[in-house]
Amino acid sequence: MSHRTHCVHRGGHGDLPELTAAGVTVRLGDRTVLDSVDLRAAGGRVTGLLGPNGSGKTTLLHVLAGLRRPDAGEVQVGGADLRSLPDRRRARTLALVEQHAATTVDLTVREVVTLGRLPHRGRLGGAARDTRGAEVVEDVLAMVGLAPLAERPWGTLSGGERQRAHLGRTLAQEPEVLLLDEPTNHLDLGQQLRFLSLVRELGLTAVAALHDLELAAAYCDDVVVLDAGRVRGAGPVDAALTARLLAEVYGVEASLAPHPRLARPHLVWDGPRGEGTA
Amino acid sequence: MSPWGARGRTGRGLLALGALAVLLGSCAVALGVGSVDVPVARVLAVVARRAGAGDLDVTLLEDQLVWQLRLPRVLGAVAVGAVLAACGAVLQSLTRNDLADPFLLGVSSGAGVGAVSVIVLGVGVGGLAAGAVLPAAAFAGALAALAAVLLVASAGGGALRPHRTVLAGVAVAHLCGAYTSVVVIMHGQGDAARRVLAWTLGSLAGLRWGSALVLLAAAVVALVWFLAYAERLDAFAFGETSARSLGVPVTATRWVLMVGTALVTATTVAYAGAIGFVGLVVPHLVRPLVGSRHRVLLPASAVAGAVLLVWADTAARSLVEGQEVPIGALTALIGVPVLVWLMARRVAA
Repeated sequence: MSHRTHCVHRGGHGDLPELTAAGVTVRLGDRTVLDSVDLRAAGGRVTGLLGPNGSGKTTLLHVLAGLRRPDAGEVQVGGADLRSLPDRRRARTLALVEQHAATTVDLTVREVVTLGRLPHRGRLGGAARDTRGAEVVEDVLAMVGLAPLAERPWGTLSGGERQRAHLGRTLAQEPEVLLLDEPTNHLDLGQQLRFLSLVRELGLTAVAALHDLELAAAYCDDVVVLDAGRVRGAGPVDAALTARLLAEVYGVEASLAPHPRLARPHLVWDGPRGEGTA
Repeated sequence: MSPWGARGRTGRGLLALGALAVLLGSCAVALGVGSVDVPVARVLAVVARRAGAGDLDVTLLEDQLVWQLRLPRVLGAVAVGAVLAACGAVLQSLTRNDLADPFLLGVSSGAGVGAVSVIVLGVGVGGLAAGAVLPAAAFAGALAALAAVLLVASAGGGALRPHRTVLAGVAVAHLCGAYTSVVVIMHGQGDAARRVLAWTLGSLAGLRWGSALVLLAAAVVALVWFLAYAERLDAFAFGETSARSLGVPVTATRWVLMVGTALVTATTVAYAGAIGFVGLVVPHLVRPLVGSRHRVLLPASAVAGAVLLVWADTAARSLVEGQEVPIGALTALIGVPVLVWLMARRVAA
């Protein structure tokens, strides 16, 4: 992928920073949304952030992105405390693909992707300092497959195209760490698979909150499973997603089995957990 | 894609030239129109002579009409229109609310409190030069209302969230409106109610060179200031989280731009009253032509707002002989149909 060529100055694949959270706690009034969460997203690997609705995935992603200050605990990227990074530097290091980022502003695809150059520009917004900007935007448009749609206004795009435009905007930031909040929601199966394949090919350090366990089994190297704000399991996909964990966290009878044709696990489920099997 | 194809570099350049030509042409025509019509050629001669182009043959009446009376008013219209439209564009993006206008933070109703205190109660009229009292009181009232809105909106956090800020603005506006009504109804004598209403609808009739230059300076400062924030405003398109993830200091940007727009708007209100609809409607008219990137949208809105107000003011002082039609009524006459069209389009989309 040509994106890697932009990252050459940061060194090769192995030099991508790891992202770690230690003891992250977030309270909203009386409610503890995240309770002393530890997470380690290894450099250049895709880490799936799993858990039922309301388990704290989005909040954790916002903490990891430096958009929300935890009540306790800290986040480090490449060994540096996230809080010590100035805003623009942080935006050149980590990028977030939000869930449902909608707009009524009729920007074109190219304009949306160009937003990602903001942290590379001068403080007063001058384009002069961002000499590679136009080139990066073109490369990113090609990479996410939107070059032919570059001049299309936002309002005319399909859900899959919008999601790829969002990914393009974050890639234009040239981040080392990519955070994705349920990026495949509202996409059809083909779009889901193509989107996550693209994320994998980028080879960045990635943390993706995912709803779908099968997609997690297929596209993530590691997973962290949250339930009610606590980490219930973490590690490589096949080791972490045990039948017992799935039963406890999701209330389902399910387990990972070897894929019949591919060298990866896939999810086999029997159904919701029976009343008496707890 | 803009149907006008104005997004390319050349297209934008042509559009900019065309817009400036329309603005200058509108000003030249406006300077000639009035109680006594002056042909455009004579208008240009007056301006050229004053600009030092030589001893051109110009009558004293022409010089008096064009240079002393009409030019300050036309320049004031340019400045006020530019400020209101640019502020509207900034605030609509900042709050992600299509209905945001420059009076969002209560400055017009606050200025109304100051104006009514002078017009009806005669506060301060004995002291300063009479002409300076009304603008000063209106400006002070606007600042007080702004302070109240900011205080309410930022209580418990200071993030100045748009939803909260809009509500605080509405609340303070109603409080100011209550004061204004009570004062007019209980203490208004003679034509006080009519004068308050006239002030509320706005007028550029009182503008002389001094006030016009203040307004022009405010317009230039505002535009340069807002343009420095153009790209950060672009980043608000997908909301606060997205702006912050792009490295934009959201809270600081909101404070600077909300207070900044309120201050320049208060300056226009002090001299010209609360002229409605320009700030609300012009950005919506301009976006389909030039797109939504603020580096283009802000100057384009400013020029369009200036043109609109120059024509509205020309109509205001020449439609009915010997009487001023309230300029706020004229901008509303143009603004309401546009707003209706806009809503219909939004529903259809």
